[in-house]
Amino acid sequence: MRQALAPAIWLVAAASAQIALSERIGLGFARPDFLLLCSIFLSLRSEINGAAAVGFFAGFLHGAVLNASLGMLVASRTLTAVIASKLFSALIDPGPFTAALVVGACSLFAGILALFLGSPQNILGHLAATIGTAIYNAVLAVPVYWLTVRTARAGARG
Amino acid sequence: MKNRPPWMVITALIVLGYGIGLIQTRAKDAGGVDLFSRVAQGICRPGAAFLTYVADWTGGLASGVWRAPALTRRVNELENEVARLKSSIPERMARLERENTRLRSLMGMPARLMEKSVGADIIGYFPDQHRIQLNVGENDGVKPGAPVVAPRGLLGQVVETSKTICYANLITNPEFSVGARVARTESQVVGIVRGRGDDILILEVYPETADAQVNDRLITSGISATYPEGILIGTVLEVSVDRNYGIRQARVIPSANMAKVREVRVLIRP
Repeated sequence: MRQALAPAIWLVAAASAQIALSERIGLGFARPDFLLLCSIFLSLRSEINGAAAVGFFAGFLHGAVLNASLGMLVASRTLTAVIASKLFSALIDPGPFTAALVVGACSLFAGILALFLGSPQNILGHLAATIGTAIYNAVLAVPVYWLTVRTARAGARG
Repeated sequence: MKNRPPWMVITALIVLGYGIGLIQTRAKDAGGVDLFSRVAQGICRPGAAFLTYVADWTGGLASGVWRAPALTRRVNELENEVARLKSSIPERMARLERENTRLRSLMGMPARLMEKSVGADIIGYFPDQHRIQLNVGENDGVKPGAPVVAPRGLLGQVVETSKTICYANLITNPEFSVGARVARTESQVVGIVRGRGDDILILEVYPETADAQVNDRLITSGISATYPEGILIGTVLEVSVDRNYGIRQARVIPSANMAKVREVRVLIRP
């Protein structure tokens, strides 16, 4: 239970950022998806079932706070988190740029999966937004990875 | 959950998600919000509000920093503008005072007393001498020659003073005269108004063709060491020409009606 508390807090914070900041700091059609970014990072070092749970809550929060298609988001985020977990653990040299690559690829995967599950009306617009979000998330992944490593080291020293 | 096979956990979570999604869709179709969404929104709202506040504040700060050079330039421009306006104030004030005096006289308002003045009550009235007695004197700074002004215009001039009282000739007094100007934008003719011992004043202007007309208002010309400019004297009642002396004469009704005046002000030269 205590293990689940920290990811839950991070996901709630990411959902709050999604509501407050996503549109504000968007560049053209590229907007950050904080919930997706957070769920991917939380999944990187998790085992598969934990990653699936993180993905589930990320999708649930995303669908609930933005009143979007909850089932589609839960499915796509759950599968994306599982993929992220598997992908990152398979890499030989995990680092900030690897994390960026994984985040970008997973964001792209989540968007494409949502395209099949949700069948949006404007497919080209959805694809453009997916690519924009993937790039934005990949860029954000570098400082986020650096921060998480620093925090983990500080926690280990403490 | 740890001991369950991953495919089972993932499938269960997706099915659960679609189940909650179904509840959400039904609530949406009914025009409402489902319980799960309400709870999630309630949990996230405080954080979102805080982040919105921080983003607004940061955005404002960044905007301020970004615009700082332009704002500095603008401040410098405004400071220069203020300095320029401050330097032009004395000249503008003098011009506006003249304009104000002229407009006030055109509107029939008494002149604004630009000089120091002292309020006084009329404590004596001598109709046959066209003279009044006031309850102010040398102790109040009143000296012979000081103009006496009523609310509606010039009333007279102090001629004798003691410590506590003074006497003033009314403008209807035959010994009284004052420089006057027609308060009409097109005219501005200057002449002399004299009392003649009755209720009517006489205006004399040179030459006989000077532009003084019936209903013109007359004000003090200001060409005097005694009377400031712009005090209302009276209104032209009738105009005539004295060909023997080559002057234009006018009968003038005084603006200040002695019968209605009880309080006056005596202008004191600083």
